[in-house]
Amino acid sequence: MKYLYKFKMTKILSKKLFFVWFVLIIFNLDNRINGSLTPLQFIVESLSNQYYIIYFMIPMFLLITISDLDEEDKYELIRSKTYWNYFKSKIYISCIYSIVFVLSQCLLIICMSVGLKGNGYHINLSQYEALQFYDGKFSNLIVPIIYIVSYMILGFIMMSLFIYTINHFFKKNTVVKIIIVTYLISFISIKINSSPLVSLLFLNTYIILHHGIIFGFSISINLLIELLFILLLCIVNKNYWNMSFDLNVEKLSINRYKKIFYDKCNINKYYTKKLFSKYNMLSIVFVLLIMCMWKFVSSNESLSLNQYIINVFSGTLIGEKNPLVILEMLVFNLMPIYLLSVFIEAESSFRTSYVNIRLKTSLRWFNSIISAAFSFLFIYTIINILVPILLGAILNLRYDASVYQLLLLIFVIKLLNLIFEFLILFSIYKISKNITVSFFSIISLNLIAMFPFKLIYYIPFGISSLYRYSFILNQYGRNYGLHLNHVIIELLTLNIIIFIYLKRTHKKLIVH
Amino acid sequence: MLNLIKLETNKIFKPVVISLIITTLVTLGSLINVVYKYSVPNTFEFWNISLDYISMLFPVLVVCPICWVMYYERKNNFINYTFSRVSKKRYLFSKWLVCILGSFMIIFIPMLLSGMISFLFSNNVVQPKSYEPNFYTTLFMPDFLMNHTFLYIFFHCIWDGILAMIIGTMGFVFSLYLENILVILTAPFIYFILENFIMSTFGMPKQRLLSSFYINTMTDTNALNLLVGPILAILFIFIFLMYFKISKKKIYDI
Repeated sequence: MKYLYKFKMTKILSKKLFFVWFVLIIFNLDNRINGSLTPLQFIVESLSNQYYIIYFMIPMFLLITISDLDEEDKYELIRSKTYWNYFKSKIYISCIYSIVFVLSQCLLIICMSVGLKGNGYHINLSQYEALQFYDGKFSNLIVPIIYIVSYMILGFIMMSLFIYTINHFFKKNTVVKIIIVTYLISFISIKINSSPLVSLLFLNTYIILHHGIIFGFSISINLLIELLFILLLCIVNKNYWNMSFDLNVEKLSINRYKKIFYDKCNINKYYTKKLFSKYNMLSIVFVLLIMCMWKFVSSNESLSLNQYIINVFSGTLIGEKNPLVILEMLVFNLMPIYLLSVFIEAESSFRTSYVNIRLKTSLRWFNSIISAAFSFLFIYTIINILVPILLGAILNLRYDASVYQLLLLIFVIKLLNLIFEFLILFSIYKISKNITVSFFSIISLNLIAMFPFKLIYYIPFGISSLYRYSFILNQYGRNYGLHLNHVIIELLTLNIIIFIYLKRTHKKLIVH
Repeated sequence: MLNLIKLETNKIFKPVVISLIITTLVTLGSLINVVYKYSVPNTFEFWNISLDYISMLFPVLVVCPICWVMYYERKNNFINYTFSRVSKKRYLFSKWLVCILGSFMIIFIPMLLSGMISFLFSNNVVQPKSYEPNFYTTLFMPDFLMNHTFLYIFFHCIWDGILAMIIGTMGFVFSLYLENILVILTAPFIYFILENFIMSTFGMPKQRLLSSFYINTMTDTNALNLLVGPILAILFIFIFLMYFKISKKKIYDI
């Protein structure tokens, strides 16, 4: 049994700890040099620094625990005779590791605090949030330090035990997804004033003491709650270890319906895998982040979230001649089209004839490409809306209730517009058999809006630009512009017409 | 060597000429658009404002007519047959030479033409009022600009041609290694756009490749900003070359 413990310990003690210490030192250096705190105050303040803990310490701990999370080893299981024995080794590891993880950092902070000469009376406590909190409760600051450290250790033990437990019941993929979601929730939690019951979901409630005191209990009861949680996890593992909770995704009813449509087209899976590659998704997120940041930087006012989102999706006016604004619109609207055309170029110039022979009918090929492309555009639209919202949440912009309606509206127009442009790209590709020509012609068709004519208002290229709509223009005192219903009807009919046309003539799409 | 260069010139002559005509149309169109819309104190300003569109579009105009050659030669294995007759380095070098010469021409000639034509519109110039400051005091080398305007435009065009050469080289490097024609032809343009937005987001709008296209955004004190964009582009090309070297991609697929 001892061997098992030692073996696991060597696995988990890695170089990442040094990195944690290094960042800790850098984080507290400024406070150490410039602050006028007493040593005890300094220790309390830096041990309960919420930004450091949430943005760095918790993710590092999660990363270290996840990185050596394996499928349960059969040999270890046989060797330890019962599952409970095996789990005991895990408890042991998580205890030792969280103690090392927290105490080493605590020691570092204590070392850093040596030689601080502040007397603690002349400082403005309002800039130290945590310190203010503890100062009102305790006369001697050594007591809260002990509480903070023990609370943190218990919290980390609980967290790692929780991860081990869900790893036992689910596959590793699902475990990672669950952890990422829970972390993201706690990531946002600083910005939101939530009710106490909701904050039970946040990870930081169990790690940072002054976040944990939510029900108005005293500190020792908080410690007890954590101990109870640990006990609960242990009981679950001891008594219910052989229950299976694994969600069988293929048995869900949605997939049964999906099978009716996609069962015969296994090529569909291949196409979606190609389109939703890591590279594509990363580049989308990167470009959207850059563009949304740029939109935020370039407007120097104090924005509300509504205004910011309208700015992001503003696009171009009719008769817009500023090349930078046009470029912004092109990047927002044509990036997914570009990725799709790269995909079409790669897929349809080399492999179509082989694929078509294999599939027997070309209609199946056409359907699978279209459905993959539509789902790609759908996901892009969602990401495009989510990125500015997340940025707005991080930057703490205030928002009105009308934002939901606005988002729904943007989603509908944007999706329809993107689908329209994709269909046009496809039909130009059918004629010219050259993806570069079709892509550049889409760009030039988007540029038509540079010339101010009355008829051009309803030209469907770049029609998702919000600055062309009457309900936005009315705010600036102009009584012209597009009407939403008209645009949606127009785009729907155009999409359906082009789609039927393409479906009828899809055989010409195949390039030999 | 000379024969090789002649051969390469023949291959891309037609598309380069077409692109030249398009570029000329764009520059002249934007010049005439500017002349009847703005009232400026000097003919040079007409020309300078009219650069707005060409400075956005030049990566496309430069790369598209030239860089497809290498892709098709690799795709239909033509390049493998040259291997036994010409040495690799010579063949690629002559290709690169023609590529950068072509890209230089595509930018240089139309811009110089529009610079010349801008002198015809000296009647449309509005003299500044006496209380207004002179427009050229904040520009790069103002005395030279006032006394030898045409020479100034000439050097400006040469500088822009050099930028076009860098972009052309980028496209050429992509065409050596990548396998998707769309990516080859649009990657320099997309690099250009992304660099533009990234730099301006991080608060360095004067160091963009776009703003180094206009010499006169610089003053005498910060003239070095002009070099940041091109150097970044060259670094980018080098990083790509190193990446392809490390991943052991081959040009000659033998």
